Amino acid sequence: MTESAAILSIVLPAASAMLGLLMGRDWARDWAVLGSLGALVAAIAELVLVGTDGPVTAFGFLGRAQLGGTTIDLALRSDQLSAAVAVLVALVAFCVQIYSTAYLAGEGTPDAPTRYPAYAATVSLFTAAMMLVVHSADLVLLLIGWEVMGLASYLLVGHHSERASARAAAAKAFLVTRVGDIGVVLAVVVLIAGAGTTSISDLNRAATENEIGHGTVLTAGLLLLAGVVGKSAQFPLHIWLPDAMEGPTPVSALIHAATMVAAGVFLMARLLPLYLTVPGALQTGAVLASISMVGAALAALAQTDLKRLLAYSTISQVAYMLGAVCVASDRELGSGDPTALAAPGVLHLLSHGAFKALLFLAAGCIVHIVGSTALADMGGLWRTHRSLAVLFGIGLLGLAGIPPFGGFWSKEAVLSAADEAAHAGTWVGWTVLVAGVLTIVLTGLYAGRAWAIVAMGRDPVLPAVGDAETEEPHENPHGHSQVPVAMMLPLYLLAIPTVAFGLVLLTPFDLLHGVEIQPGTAITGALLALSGVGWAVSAPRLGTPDIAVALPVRARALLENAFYFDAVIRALVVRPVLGLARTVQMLERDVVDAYVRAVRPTTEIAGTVLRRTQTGLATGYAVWVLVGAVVLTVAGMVLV
Amino acid sequence: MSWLLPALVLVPFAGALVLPGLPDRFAVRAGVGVALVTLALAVLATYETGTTGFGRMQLEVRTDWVPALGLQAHLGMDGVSAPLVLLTGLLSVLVCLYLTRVGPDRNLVACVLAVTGGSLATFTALDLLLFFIAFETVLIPMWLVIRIWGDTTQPGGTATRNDAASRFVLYTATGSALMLLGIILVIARTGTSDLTELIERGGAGMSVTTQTVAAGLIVLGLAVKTPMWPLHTWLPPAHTIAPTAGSVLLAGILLKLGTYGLVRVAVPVLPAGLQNVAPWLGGFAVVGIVWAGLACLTERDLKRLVALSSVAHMGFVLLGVASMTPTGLQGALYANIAHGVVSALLFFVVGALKDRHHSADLSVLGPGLRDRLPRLGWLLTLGAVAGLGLPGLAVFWGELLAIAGAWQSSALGALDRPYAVIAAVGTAIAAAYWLRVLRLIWQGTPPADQAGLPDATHHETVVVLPLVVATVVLGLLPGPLLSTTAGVVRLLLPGGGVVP
Amino acid sequence: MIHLLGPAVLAAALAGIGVYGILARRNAVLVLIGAELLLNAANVLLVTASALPAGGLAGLEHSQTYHDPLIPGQVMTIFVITVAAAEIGLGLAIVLLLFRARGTVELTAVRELGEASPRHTETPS
Repeated sequence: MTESAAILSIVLPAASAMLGLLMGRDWARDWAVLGSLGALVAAIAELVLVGTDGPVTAFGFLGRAQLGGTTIDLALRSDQLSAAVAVLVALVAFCVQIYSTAYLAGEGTPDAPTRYPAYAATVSLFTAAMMLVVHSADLVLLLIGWEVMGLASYLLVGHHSERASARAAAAKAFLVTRVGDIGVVLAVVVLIAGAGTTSISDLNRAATENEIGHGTVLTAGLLLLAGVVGKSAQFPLHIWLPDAMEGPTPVSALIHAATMVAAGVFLMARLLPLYLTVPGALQTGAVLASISMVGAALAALAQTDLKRLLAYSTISQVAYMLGAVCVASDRELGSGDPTALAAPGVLHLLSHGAFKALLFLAAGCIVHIVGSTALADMGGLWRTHRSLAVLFGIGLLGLAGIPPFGGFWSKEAVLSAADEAAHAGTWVGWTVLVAGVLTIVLTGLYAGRAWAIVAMGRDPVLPAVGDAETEEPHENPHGHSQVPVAMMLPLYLLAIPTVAFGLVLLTPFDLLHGVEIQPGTAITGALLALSGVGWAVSAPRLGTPDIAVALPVRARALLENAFYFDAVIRALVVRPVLGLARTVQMLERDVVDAYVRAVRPTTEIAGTVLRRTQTGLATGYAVWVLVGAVVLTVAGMVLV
Repeated sequence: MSWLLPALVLVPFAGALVLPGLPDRFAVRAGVGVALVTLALAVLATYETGTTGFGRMQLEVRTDWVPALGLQAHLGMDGVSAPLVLLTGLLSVLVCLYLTRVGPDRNLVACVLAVTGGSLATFTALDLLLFFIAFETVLIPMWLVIRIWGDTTQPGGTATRNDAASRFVLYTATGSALMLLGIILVIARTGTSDLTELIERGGAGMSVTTQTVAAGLIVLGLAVKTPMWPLHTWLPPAHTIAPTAGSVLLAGILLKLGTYGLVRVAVPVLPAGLQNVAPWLGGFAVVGIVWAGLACLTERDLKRLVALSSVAHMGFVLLGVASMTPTGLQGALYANIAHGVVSALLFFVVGALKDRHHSADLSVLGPGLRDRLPRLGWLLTLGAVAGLGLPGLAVFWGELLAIAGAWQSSALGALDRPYAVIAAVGTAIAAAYWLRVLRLIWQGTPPADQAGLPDATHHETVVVLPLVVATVVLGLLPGPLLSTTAGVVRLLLPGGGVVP
Repeated sequence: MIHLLGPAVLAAALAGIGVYGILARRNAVLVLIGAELLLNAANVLLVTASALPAGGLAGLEHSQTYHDPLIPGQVMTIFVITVAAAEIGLGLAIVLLLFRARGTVELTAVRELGEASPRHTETPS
């Protein structure tokens, strides 16, 4: 039963993607919604069944691949971690599919077609791939889902491909994650060679029991971390995520906020027993997470675009999860199950998925009303659309970590874990703890800033007039005053877990037994967050809704451009590679092929030279005969 | 079932002889019939081989042909040849089917069947000289395809076409001459040309120096056909000029002959020699992967680009062979099949695009295919993402296994891991150039003057559909194909391929 | 048995004269005669070698008297004579035709087939 539920959660969205594409526009909407609903039901069933029947360690899915002395069993597994994440994925995917039916309704204009069937099918494909990642019992199978997610992300970011910025962002998103994924591929290779298996449970067991060489585990751990950093948009491979906001907003909610970017953390949690044997990899991860946490929060502070602000906050929040997982090696192993150490990270993953999806979908509604994603065009939502403003506010409160919202509990769990590690006396714990506390204030600030600009403001909404670059096709380019019901319903649905996620901790299931929240940390965190929010929200009283204006101009530009890291990458990687490509093209033509082209002139020249020996004088030829005879004779005498 | 393999080889040859005498309309349909019979025989032969086990040579047939030379007509099939035979049969059916509507010509169909027959003979030959003869048989019909039906609209017109055709023949013939020298050396030193016997000996009776010289010659000869960097410069012009049918044959079948020869001849017959050659082979392979990838980043002609990407893909195959590990060899064979399927798909699609736009230049084809010609656009996208080695599609497995083989190879010496890492970086470059193609022609706003071109017809869709299915199935279910090769690669490698 | 030195010296002398005739003479008839002398030098050597016992010079020391009943040296000599007759016939015919056409048999005067020839043309006019 558990197995069937898990397989169905993968197969149903995959099938709906295929059917939606094949059966055309009339059926696309039904298949997409049905597929995601099916996946949701299957995931919930799985969660219940895992609770009653216990986890299933491995069951066959795509058969076995026999290579050399190794057998790769492309099998699935089902436990509380996979089931819980599956429910989150399915829930958000379901909300997004419903939302999208209204968001991308109609045919669109010839200049900006909605391409709804392809869109819905790709979202379904993404859901299937994410489900595959969540359920994989084998690293190679996980890698398949991992990359198909990347493909879906590429297709969806570039969905409005008539925009040059969307095309560039799509390619950038795929390429940057692909660079990280070199690490995953090599990690698989290292493990095939060094451990003889790629099964996740076998690897965890073998690493814990020291059956694999330490060097192999460390190499594989660091290589996998590269993939995690790429997929989860952490420093230094975070540059793709803000640009990926070119995609339709529901896609940003699903892929670039709630699920795919969290997959990296999920992978770390899955392999935590392996990682615990190589603290070096975890320490590296913790440092990267700390940098991403603070850096992205700072960048979010000065963004002028609502979606980019949310993207930077995603980087920052995912860094919380990664940090929580990476301090695990310095914490005490409580119940004996090492995966319990990942619980704070997983908890934040789940609660973040809910509130960030809510925020993005609400942002989509706001964009729908305003017709632009620029913060400068927004304001006064509280007066014009009260319910939407409330929902948006709930999401922001969850993001900022204000009690009693879900975000508060998960964030304090992360900080408590870091606190515990710090008190164990390691620099890793301190790094994450300091970065985390600092980020709480910053998060409060930018969440409050977003609220102040979008909801409070002085004026009611002023639709952007005559804007050609509108986010989605409208019948009129002036935005809408009404939000369709299909777009509001998912918000209410997502608001429930955002508000009430903390209730999970009343009767935590096994997965979350490792979660401890220390009152001291919690109270400090809540107060800091409140002060941040309060500071930002009080800005309108001081004359401007945007607190970032208070920053010096150059500092603001620095933050808005995220420390110009993009330009650095462009100068250090993109330019040299393109230069190299031009050099190769030139060498291909002028060196490698030159040898081939040279064959013809060489033959001609040789012919011209050699025919000079043909004098026409018979005695001259006879000399050659004689010389030949002498040479043969001498050669015969010398050699025999 | 001893009639099976001779029939498999002779049916397409017979078709090639008879077809030119029939009227055009009928001949093209008869060509499809002959190809279908060949495919049916290939399926039957694979089934027969599979029931008794892919690990051993099956369906062997042996008769004296030229006793004075010790030349035998010796055919057989095992796990290495079976997938290639199936691929050849499938592609020849698809190409013949394609030719029923697009540019039907009985002589072209005859050439296609001749290429099929020659390739099938190469894949089943178990005598070194027979292998060589079959290998060469393919050359002439392919030359005719490029020389007669080639594209003359390129800059330079017929001169460019003739240049591409002669380049193809001269390059390959030079390679074959070198390979023949190596083969003769082997035969002279061992006194037999029987492959099964030579494989059993595993290089016994030849000194390491002899083996190294012979392996060097044979590898060099086969590397031209594969093609290996820097001997690849015949491939892009040949693909650019060849008609769609020719490109599909060239990429899908002909390039496989070289790598098949490496696995069938070089690895088992000259193990000690190949050990010495392997670091060079692997080095050229990884340079080829990166080099071709970088060249693709600035290439303007889509057909040339697909051809260059073939060089990169074959680099993975060569790397797998050079690793001389079971994993690497299995990867090489998998990548071989995967490349056959995916590049055939790509050439069908690019050919269809070229027919419509009368050019394969990226700036002429694009932008906006996804809105303008959605079906062709999606097929191109599928081919591109398969080509960049997306896990879940066919090419990925070959690349992964080739890299894994290189990583643990002892034949490559200290260079094993550097090669593996460079090859892995090559996969990211592949992503970069395919995304560039998609960005330039698949995405974007369609230009007004290109409106009204017809999308893929039902006929074209039907032709590529088997390839689409194969790409996805090979990517998601690698088990069956890997298990056909798992047993036999151990027999081909010295010492059963046990990694120390 | 005559001494081996006699025929050897004779062959060497014939060959030397023949080479001189071929290389130094410009008259076509004399060149042909030089070629004949060379051939006959070879003939002398063949007949001489044929007289040696099996095993050649080494066999001589063991005074083995076995002879190849096929006497290959003589057979080869007859063969050479035949070929030489045909060759000289053909050669003299060319010389005759040359004399009729040009009125000379000097080899230096007929160099049209050479690449460096000033009157060389790709196609006969």
